[in-house]
Amino acid sequence: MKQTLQPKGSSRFIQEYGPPILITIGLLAAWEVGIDILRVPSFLLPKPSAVAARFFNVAKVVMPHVWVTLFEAVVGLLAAGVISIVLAVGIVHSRLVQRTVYPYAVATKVVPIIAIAPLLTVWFGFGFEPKIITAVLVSYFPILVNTVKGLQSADRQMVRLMRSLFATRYQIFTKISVKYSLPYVFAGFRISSTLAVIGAIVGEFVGADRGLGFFLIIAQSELDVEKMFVGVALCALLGLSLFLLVVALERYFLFWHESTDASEEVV
Amino acid sequence: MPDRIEYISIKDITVQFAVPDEGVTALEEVSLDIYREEFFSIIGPSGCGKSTLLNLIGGLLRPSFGEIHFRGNSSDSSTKRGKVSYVFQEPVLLPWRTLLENVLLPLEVLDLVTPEYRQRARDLIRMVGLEEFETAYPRALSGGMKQRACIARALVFDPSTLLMDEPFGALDEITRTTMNLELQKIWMQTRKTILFVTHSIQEAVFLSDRIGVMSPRPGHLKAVVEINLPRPRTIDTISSAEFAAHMATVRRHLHGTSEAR
Repeated sequence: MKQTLQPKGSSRFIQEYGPPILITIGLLAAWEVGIDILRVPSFLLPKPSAVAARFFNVAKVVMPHVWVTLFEAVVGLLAAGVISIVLAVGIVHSRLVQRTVYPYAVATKVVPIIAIAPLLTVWFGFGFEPKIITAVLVSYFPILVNTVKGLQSADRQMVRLMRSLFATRYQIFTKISVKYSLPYVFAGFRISSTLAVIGAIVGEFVGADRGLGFFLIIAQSELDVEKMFVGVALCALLGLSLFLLVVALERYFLFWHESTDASEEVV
Repeated sequence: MPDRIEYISIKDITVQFAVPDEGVTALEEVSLDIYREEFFSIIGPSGCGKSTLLNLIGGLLRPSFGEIHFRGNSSDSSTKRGKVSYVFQEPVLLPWRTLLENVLLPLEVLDLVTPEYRQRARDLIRMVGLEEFETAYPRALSGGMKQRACIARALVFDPSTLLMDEPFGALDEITRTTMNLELQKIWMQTRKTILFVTHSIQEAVFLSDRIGVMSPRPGHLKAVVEINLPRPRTIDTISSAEFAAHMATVRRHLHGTSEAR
């Protein structure tokens, strides 16, 4: 039981988000000044201010690509979630499913996604499907493993209490096990949220006519380093936003859990 | 002392657990009658089968040999559903439910969620002194408060029998004494049959009508001690000479080595 004393409102915001924001500003400033001092040519490493200026220049061109990649990553993440949770429920309730599914789950995890991506393009063409599939393939595993563990983490005394009331298996599952699994499920989603963005971009690298991956490939072919930096920065922001969205949902749904008022554990 | 109506009858119960290469006998030929509305404690060292005996009565475990009867009925699950209720040592509450919602849980399982039972839940929460915390989450409650909530939850569907497995074992001594006084009050108000497993001789003597003394390897019932102290018993009862005499008797049975089996 933890009841930490926390300052309210704006001071809490500063306490939590102040340090990372300050560090980011410091790093960007050092970068900006360092390039002048060390006389790094701008075609190798542009200044942050130049990248920002370039972004506003190409915003009209690049933002549609951002939405495409965001769409692929979110659909991929949701599909990965549905598939993993269904599989996890099967694994927890049946040894047969556990024995059949787990080896394949590990096998698909071991094959590098970059090796499968070209094949998917051959099968499904240049549309959304192969990117969503690569997003699913790289992001389902953490959710699956965590959900299995979570569904087995129900308090044993609580299960004993339910049994003493002659609760059905279904009642124990819905009233006890599912809720106890949620912290684990969210931990899986946190890891997978960033992986799904990577999966979508890898899918775009091997064959696409839109998306951030496509934008990066074009920038590279033009040897336009500034434009590449715009793409990289947007990839990072995309992954970060998805991650923060999951964290926000977690805080909302797991208000009762200890981790929500303590310092966040590192993923 | 309530009228002695035989309520739970345990006849020649033996429980063996299958361990590879050797069967472990957890309980050997235990016979015991529990009376209706009696407060019966089971005391003994670790590994003497106290919890096993409780689980048999609760239906979580089946005996290898012997029979348990509830007021004439055989002990299959259909007759016991909604009759027996547990309180464990760990005061486990669901952390995502408020205190009231936790107390309502057994009603949901037993499909008894009616306005009458909801009111009963509220009354029980008031009886255990937690009416101000109805909407609080378990993380805001102390260990003693959680265990009170567990007692309210155990009573909510109006079971006839309460099985308590070292419910105050994890509490500090001061809280424990408070809880003992409170449990006596609850028992006198609700008139349940209570089976109470404990390690504490004082707790057993303070609460019980009778105490079953158990002994390990293999677990068996060594003696049944009758505690005929008047009720309600108070803090002063604990320091009385009769109380000390009863404690000495129980202690003698627990440690007595010269007795023949």
